[in-house]
Amino acid sequence: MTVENLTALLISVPFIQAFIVLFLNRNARRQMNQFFSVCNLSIAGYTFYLFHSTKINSIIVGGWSDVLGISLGVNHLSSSLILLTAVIFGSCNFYQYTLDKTLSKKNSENKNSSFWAVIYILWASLNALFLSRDIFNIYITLELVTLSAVALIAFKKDAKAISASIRYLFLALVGSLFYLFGVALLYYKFGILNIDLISTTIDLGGQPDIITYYAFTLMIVGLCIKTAAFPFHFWLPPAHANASTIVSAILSAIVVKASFYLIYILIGTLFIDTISTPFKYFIGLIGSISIIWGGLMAIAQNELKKIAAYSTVSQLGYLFLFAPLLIGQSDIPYKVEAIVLLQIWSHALLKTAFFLALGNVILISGKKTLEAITSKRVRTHGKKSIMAIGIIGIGLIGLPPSAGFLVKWYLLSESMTYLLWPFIIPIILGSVLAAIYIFKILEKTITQDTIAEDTNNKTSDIHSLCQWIPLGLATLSILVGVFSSFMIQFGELS
Amino acid sequence: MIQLIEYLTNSVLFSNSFYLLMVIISSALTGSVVFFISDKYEKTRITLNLFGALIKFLFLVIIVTGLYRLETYEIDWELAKGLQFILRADSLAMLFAILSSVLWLVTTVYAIGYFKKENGENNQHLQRFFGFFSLCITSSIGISFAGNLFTFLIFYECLTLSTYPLVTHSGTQKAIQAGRKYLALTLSGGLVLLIGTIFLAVLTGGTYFDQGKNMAHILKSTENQLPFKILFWVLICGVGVKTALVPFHPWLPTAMVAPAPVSALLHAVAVVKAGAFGIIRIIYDVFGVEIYAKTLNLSAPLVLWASITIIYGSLKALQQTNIKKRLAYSTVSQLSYITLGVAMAGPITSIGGLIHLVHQGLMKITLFFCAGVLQKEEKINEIKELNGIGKIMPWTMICFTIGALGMIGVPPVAGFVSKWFLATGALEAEYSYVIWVLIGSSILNAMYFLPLCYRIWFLPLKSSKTYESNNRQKHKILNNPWLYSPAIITALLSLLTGIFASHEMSPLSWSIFILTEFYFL
Repeated sequence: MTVENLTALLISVPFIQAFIVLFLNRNARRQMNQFFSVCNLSIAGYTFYLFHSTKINSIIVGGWSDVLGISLGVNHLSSSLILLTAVIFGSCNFYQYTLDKTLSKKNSENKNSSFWAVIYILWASLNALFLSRDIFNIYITLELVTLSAVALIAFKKDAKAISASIRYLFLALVGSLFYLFGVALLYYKFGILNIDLISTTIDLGGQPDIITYYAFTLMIVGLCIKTAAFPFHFWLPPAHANASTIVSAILSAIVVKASFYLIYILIGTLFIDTISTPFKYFIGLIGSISIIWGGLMAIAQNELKKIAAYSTVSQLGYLFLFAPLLIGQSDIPYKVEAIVLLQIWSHALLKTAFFLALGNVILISGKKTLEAITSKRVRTHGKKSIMAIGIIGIGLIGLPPSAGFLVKWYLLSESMTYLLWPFIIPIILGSVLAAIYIFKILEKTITQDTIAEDTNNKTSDIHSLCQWIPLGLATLSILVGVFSSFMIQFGELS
Repeated sequence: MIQLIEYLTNSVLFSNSFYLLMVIISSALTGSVVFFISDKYEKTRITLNLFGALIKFLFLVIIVTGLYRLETYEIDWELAKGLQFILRADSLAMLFAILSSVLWLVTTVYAIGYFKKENGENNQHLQRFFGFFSLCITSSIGISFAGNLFTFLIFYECLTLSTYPLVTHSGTQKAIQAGRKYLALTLSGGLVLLIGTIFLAVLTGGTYFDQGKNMAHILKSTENQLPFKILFWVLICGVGVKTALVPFHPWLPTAMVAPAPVSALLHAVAVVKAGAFGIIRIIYDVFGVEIYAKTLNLSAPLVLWASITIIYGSLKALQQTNIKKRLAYSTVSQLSYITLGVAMAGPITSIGGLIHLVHQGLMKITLFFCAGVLQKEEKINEIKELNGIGKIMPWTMICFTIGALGMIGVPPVAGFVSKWFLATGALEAEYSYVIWVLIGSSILNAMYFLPLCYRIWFLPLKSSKTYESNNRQKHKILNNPWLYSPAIITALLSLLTGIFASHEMSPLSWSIFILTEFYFL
């Protein structure tokens, strides 16, 4: 099977699954869900393997001509992200499966067939987004991702979740419109939509003109809104904190990364010459403020999932620091690629693990606040989740040997090499702030004063596998750091 | 399948790098397994812990004999491009590794005795305790075998993390506060070290322990020495936190809330020695003696810094009324002997510094074992409660006295040997004021240790005769050999290393062997 066929499968299979899952009853659905994720995981894994063993940089699917057609392509970054998506969705899916084993029907938060259909649509559209190589296609997949993400939050069906999802919807739509304006301008200017073609045309034209600048600015602003960069970050914490556990995990881990991925490829391939040095600094500045603000707000929170959500804002900020490192470069250096790739992987695994572990703690104790950690039931039943939070802390703070440490190492060493001294401060400060909010949680696991159970709150026993999943994911994120040479080598190729 | 097994046995198993790896893995693995063994299976846990400690020691012995046969032990793993994870067993590494593993073995025995079930104390979370205890020693061993500063940094940070749950073990408000202070200081220290390491990598293109060869090359071609001077102080501040140089020392006295086995390990090997070892590595292996002392002239300020810490620590120790606190400030002071010896950068002073790494470990761990026994068995925390305690627990108190005399520098206990080399070396290195620092601190040492010995042996016990004889029975060594014997072993070791200092297997001879490499090759 060629990579070309596989890319087609990557998009079509989850869509078909979304359709099938609508017609299944609860039990059949639970079994089939596992089968589906194994299917998707193996397709993604095989794509990744095949792509890297053949070492082709980009593939055009479907035999359409470049100018008119829908162009899909795989590069090493997208193949890696597709695999990551599959890992995250697969583990969330499995988590929900084990959770349902122990929770009664009433408790299991209305995970009906339409919920699962939306999950698969989200999966398919994420795959499509990572594969798309033309800017209008990207717009469509981006909209699909946003709408299905909004729907998933609203499935929780409580007032907070619904208001959060509506706020998310409005902002995401504004972001999409900005992006669409940019696309329209580029189409007006060049008459084509294919990223690679536009890129060559811009290169041929010498100095980019004003329309390209406007288009670029509009697209980047739109995507920054969706990636929750600093001034536009406020939609993220309520949306991610109020969704149900696996939805929070998926949104924080992969959905926000999708729009960042677009920022990255747009800047890296399309606008590498258009973007001016001050603008690169500006993106770096946005990232820096996100790191610090997200960290500070995470410390101020008392609700467990809010801490995790603000930590996402902070960790996303590190991604934006790739822009200043491009100053004076006409191509993306492999170290920058390594930073982005490692940070995306590390944060995705860590944040999934974090939300799942917090979900366990909340279920076990019946409380949503920091107090939950001190409850006696968590002490006795939730040990593995606490352990997972400890390992997650290592990654989020960026201590060795996690992948987060390597990200910080590369960021700092590159900043020092290119004399970008101002950016050292947020990188270090981000670690300090992360240490504070992580140890604010971990401290509670050690303290002597425990709280007795509140009989009014509903607490539930959960299957021990539920606790192994976050622990496993957290360990995986450490392993990504240890074996990162494997990942980065591929970054070197392109 | 058979080929795979053959491949494993031929190349990986029983190769030199396998032994090196096993030294680290033996405790890491037991540590991670112990986390999942609940209190119900206490015996299994104890066996596993001891087994891990013994295996580790065994593999170290194999490596030492290998080193005598001039074999090399090295693991080189490329973590990411330009980032080498290197483990290497050189002679300096072995000094620290053997010290760590021997004292870990002894402390494990002690901890088992300390947390025995019949004492009606809060003995929860023992699986957590022993798990992190093992991880803590894994990091220490990792620090000793680290073959470049990057690897050193990795284990240095692991050490910080794995000791935090040990410091806060009791979970009281006081312990939590101490934990905060500990983390705030050591994590910032770690970050400073991270910045320094990256700075080093950016300046010289790597973080190798090449005794400054690469750096000398760069320094020849440039006039600007300032970045290298800044680099040195950044690195020293990074490791200075753990080795408790004033003003980075406050975590050490507050960390006293930890249970006695932790304090013992913390003060003798694990944390503080990681810092001291870092200073040794930075001066000898990163910068090299030549650049450190001659090209950049960094010696004088560091000597002054260490001297100030020695005197300050001793003065503070004198003010304490709590036994463990007094010992803690004494550690602050004693640690800087190591820094002092290495900082003066003469061959003889360096011998003094290096052997004090071992000697201070042996003596301080003895003192803490005894303090732990006092706290555990007699609920004695304050110095004034020590009166006549020698009558009810003579063996433990003899060990305490040996440790205390060693700290003062009375021959033939090990401490004397260190001070002898430091003093004669100081003259040779032309730091005459250091002699006065040493004399002053010895007087101060005597002032804060001798009154304790006086109270223990010469003042009458306040309680009645029956109490005395009952307790004497109770504290017979055989009643809880786990608890009482470790102090005796370490006290004996600190006597023996002093008496047989010139034997070819002694820490002294080993240090001389190490230093010939740095000074005369």
